[in-house]
Amino acid sequence: MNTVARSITRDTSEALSRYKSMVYGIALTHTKNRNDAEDVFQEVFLAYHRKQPQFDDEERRKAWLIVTTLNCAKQVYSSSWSQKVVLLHDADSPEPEDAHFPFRTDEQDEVFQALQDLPDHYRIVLHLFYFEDLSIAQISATLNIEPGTVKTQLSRGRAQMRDLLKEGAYFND
Amino acid sequence: MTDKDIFEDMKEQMKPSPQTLSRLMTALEAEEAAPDPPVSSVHTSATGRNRDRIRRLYGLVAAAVFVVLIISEAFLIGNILSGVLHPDPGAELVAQAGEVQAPGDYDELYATIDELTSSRKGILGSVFSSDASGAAVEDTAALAPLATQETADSPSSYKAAAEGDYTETNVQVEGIDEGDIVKTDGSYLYVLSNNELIIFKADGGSTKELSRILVAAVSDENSWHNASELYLSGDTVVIIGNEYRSGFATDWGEDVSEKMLVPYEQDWTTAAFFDVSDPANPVFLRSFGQSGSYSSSRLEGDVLYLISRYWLSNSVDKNEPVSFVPLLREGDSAKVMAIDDIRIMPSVQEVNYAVVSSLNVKSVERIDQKSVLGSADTVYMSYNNLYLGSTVYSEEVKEPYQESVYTVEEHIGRQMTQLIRIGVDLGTLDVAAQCTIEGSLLNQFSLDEYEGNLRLVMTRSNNSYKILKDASHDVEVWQPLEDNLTTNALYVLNPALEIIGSITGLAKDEQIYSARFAGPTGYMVTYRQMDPLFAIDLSNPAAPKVTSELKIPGFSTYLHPFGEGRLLGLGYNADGAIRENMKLSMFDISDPFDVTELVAMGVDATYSEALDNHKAVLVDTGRTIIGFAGEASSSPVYFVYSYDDEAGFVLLSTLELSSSEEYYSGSYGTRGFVIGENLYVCSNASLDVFGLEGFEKKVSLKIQDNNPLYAETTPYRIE
Repeated sequence: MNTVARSITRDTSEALSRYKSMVYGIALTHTKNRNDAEDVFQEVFLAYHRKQPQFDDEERRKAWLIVTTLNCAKQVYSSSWSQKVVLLHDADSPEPEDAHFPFRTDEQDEVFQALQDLPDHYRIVLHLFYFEDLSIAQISATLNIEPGTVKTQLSRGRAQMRDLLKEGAYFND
Repeated sequence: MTDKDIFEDMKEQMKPSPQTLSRLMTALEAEEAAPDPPVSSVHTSATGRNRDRIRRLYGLVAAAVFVVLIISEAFLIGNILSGVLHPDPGAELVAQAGEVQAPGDYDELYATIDELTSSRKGILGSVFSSDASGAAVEDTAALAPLATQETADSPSSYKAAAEGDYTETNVQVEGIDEGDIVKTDGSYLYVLSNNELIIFKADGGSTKELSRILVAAVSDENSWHNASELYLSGDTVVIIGNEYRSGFATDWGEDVSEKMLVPYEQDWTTAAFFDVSDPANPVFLRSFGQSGSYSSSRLEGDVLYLISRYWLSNSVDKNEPVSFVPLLREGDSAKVMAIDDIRIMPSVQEVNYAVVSSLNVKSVERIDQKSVLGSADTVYMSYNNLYLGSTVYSEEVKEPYQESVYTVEEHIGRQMTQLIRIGVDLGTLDVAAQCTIEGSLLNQFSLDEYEGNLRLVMTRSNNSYKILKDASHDVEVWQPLEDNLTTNALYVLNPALEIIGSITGLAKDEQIYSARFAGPTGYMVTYRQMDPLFAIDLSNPAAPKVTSELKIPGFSTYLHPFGEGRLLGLGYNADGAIRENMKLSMFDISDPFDVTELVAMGVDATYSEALDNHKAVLVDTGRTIIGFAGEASSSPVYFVYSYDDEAGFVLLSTLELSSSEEYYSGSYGTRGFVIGENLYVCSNASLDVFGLEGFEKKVSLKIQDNNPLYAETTPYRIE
């Protein structure tokens, strides 16, 4: 094989520099708190570094990272690990929402919460479409679902999110 | 508020913190190398002992690369603290201009690089040997001007001048061509797809394929070549590509007597010239290369300007300029760039070069070359100057202070833009000025030269936060700082790149989505909730003023002057938090003091490449036709609109593009051209020809069976 040297000097660091924000973002939207997201982020790149997977093109590498992040997030979420954060809190600790990623505005926090409250299959499609600017074709190829299904999930997820936001479900004050 | 805007802003925030990254790096460094590195199976000549050695180097190389990230940040902080970038931190405007430094010799250049890479030094010695570049490197002497060799038989007859009734690639500056994936001269269509150059005779329903050749060639199996753009000039086609090589070079370990093999890598940006005077039989003429990955290029007259970014990913050795100086290649021989051709940005922060070459497409020879230790992410060229812009991030960590039980540490994050002006004159390159300004550029349309001055619009956004630590409870809280307000600014810079006029604090809490300059007026769309289209009067460069501000729903991501007094906008409609479908707007700009939106029309598409790539837009102001591909239904379509003031936008046709049965190809990479009475639409899968009257499909010719995204590419080899 001829991709040998590439995987050593470049692969992990290049994957990290290119996709750190993407992996971190997916981890954030697919876990319940920031600590879990941090762990997913670490796990994904450690897995990448250990495996040194070889890809024919950049699209596949990106797809591998997206799918691995999703799987990793699913594992973390389903484990009891996410309860640990709650246990750590005591009276002097900051408010529980500090475990959440703080966005600049309340509005953004609401959008983020609405996104997190969407069913998984809507959430990932919306995430890839809006945050990663993937086309429907790319999402279809990455998640291995029909383009038509992507479109349906996109429009239903969008509608559901719009409803959540219009209901004002996240206006706490 | 639309989700486009809000998601963009959120995306920007969802980044791992430096702490998270350094935690990961520590973990990676602690990792053992992959249990069975593929290297041992390839490098069969390595002895068992060597293999162990190579394996150990895996960890070292990984560590070396990661350290750079941290150090460059530390270096940045040092710069800021010493006041280099921020002479007055409280000032609204942070900018600094000055001379570009010219190193006297390679030692002086090395000293700068050494300072930037000192952390890497010592981990690995030189990994370069003389053949590390992938081509035989001759001595380190200056690249001598090449004798004009093929002038006699170079193509002299230019065709199609008489058949001027066709559209060309949509470019920013009239007369300065930009590389793209499809080009036409009105007689033939030249399509670059999946490393193939496919030439079609454009003849309406009788359009046919004349030739198809592989244009990305490599010399051995450790190389890859990806062709990304093409140019057409007379009888010459230039294919711009990236070539990647990897292999092994010798390294001195701790024991100098012991020579070891370590991996190295080398990126080349290439320009391969083909004679297409016989379109049925394109002939390869010559290829040029330069270190680094492809950034951008321009063609003006007979001169092609090629810009690459060269990151020194390997170790450097003081005694081997080949290890730290960009290389230039012609055919199979490479040379180290002469010291006279190298400049250093005063505020350089990373071991990154912007490498610029000028090549004569008529005589097929190199004219000039320059490298600047700096970078080139955004490239804009006027008739006299090439401007290279690159974003650098700076983070200032303030002295921690105590707030109740917490130790508070403030991090002030800023986006800065480094600008370089290179004077161009028939290919001669003169690195003339540089500056660093606070803020970031959206794209090439954010820059424009007018009467010798450079006008630019920038979004200034800080990403500052504070960390509250309570060690006794092992608690760490992150909070964004209040001064993270996004604002926008317009600057007018003189040829020395000093600010001579400015408007700052524009559209608070919004960011620039598109910009366009036309003579003494500039237009800029910023967005948050409504779409303010600003018209800025720049007739007095020292005192620019906003003459008009128009607020409409949605926003435009591309602006295009459309005949007298009209400006076309392409963007999104928006309703509340939800970005809706695409929309077309026509603005009346005839009165700069009262810009209005004449008409807007929704487009039944959720995405089009045209939203972020101007080359994907067909605008024929003569025929008043606007075309672009989009994704609306399950198959990609091409929209054709007409516009006039009476009828407004009229959807002439929604053309179904032929797509492969096996793969959904999407609309990305689709281009439309009008030639005579026909519209030629070239997608990933096919070239479809439609009559402009009635839009019936006359013929469909295959481009690729499969979506190139999924196609297995076999490297083409020169025997």
